[in-house]
Amino acid sequence: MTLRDLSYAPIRVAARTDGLVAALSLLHETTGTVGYGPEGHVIVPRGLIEADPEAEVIDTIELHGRLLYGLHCPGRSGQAPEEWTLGLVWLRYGLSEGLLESCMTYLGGRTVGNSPLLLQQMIKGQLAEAVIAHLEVLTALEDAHPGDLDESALAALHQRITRTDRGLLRLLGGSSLCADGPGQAVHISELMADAYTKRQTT
Amino acid sequence: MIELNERQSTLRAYAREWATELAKRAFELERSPELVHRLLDLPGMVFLARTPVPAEYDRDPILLDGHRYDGGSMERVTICEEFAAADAGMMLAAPGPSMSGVLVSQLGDKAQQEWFFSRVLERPTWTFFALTEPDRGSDAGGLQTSLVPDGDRLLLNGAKRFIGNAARASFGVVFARTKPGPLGVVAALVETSLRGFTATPFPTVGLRGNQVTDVRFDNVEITMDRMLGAHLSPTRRGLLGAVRGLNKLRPGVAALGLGIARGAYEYVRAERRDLTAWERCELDEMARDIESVRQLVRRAATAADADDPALATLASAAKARASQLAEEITLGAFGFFGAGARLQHPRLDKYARDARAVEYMEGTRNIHHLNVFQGLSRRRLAS
Repeated sequence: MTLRDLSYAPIRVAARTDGLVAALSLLHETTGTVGYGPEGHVIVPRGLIEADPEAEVIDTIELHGRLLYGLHCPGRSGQAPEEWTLGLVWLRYGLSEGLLESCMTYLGGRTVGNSPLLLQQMIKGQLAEAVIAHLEVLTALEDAHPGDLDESALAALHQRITRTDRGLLRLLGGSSLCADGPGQAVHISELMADAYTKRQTT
Repeated sequence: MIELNERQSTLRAYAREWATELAKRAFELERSPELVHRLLDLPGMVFLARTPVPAEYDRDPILLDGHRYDGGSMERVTICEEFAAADAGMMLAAPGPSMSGVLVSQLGDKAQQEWFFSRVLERPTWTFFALTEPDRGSDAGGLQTSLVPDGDRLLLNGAKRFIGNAARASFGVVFARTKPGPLGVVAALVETSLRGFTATPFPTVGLRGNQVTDVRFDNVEITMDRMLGAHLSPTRRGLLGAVRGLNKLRPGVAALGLGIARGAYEYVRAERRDLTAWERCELDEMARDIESVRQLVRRAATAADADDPALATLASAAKARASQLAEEITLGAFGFFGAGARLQHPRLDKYARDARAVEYMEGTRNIHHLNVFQGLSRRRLAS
């Protein structure tokens, strides 16, 4: 199997079910690289921080008791291979799918005025919006091989995922602001996208 | 166009100066929320700690260039925008009467008001406001914290969630239920030193200085003189009183979103000198949006100060739009700095995280959209 034929399914599933750190570790493992962005930034889990003594640690973020590091190494700018940048979109997509599942579980267990929140028309509509966005992203990703999607296409997918995640977080209410909850994973997911996106517009 | 008058402009100038000074410690406060105890002598903290207090209880008010400030909504939105443009976390970490003060002004009798405000003025004192419960954030009517008579007092039991400053506070306002139904919800003044009261801070993604807590009440004894609104009709106290109080405070929360958006915009202006024509257009559009939302926020504040029946709708419209603006501008601002901007510009990243926190304060956009719809269906829109 060549890198062009790399299957991203395990990364998507790991992101959806095991979370960000597991999926990120798997992306590193699968592509065999630490993929620095165009300006020399990357987010790595603890196990990989020693991999590059030249890199400066510019941020430390905790997620469910595990540490991730924001590294900066101008000398390695733009070294992320195409299989990495495509894999990162798959990873963020899987995280977003997991977030949707969390929303379903959360909203199914809550009521307003004795009626399940999940049955409120506005909630249904917003969940449907998320599903539509997911389908759009998935359709773009499914047949794509590394290199098929250019930088702007990948940036657009990242932006779609960010917008969808923000909408889903609103459905989780204040709980999504907890640093040990899904809101922190979304924050790190956004940081990862930002490291590779030259231009991000609203 | 709603412009500030000379008195309000004076307040804005002072608030901007205070907030800029305090913001130098913003990241330190994020790492260590207890830092705020060492900042209490700074003028911004002194002002926030003593404002708003009704004029009748403040015999030695702070005057700014001869002007006196007693906490009208237009004053509040002016202060909130200025602090949030520098660092919203610092303002929310400050001691003072804050939300509880508004409720005590509205629901408390003379003795309760005297007790509350004299203690606030005595020394820097944190207060808390406890309405939201675990699992019922958007359903205040379903709250289950109970107040049950026990001899000549009441026993408070239950839990609250997302309560700012409760671990630092000396006292605050707690909403609890004495019987089923909306009229069974009452508000009580509760001291944090009472046996059975615990407040546990937990870390958040944004606005960490606010030190949000989980609060538990385990047979906390409340004396009858701490029950707010006993002298009012049942329809004016309790949950309905809370709703009225929150409507008055909401323009201030909207102004936090507005200020965060402005802060991110000004950061781009200051840090990106050589802009392309397209980037200049984008920044100009941001500036127009910020001014437009500022006008909406001020309109809501004007309604709050005038007891306008359209306040609930206007306040929710302002909060929903300001939250959206804060999200759009903070995310859009990264685009001016290229890849890795969030790691390379931590202050901009902080604005983005704080914008997320403002979204959840006093209900997300979704909740406010429902409020705006209620205004539409009841024909309580601005004329």
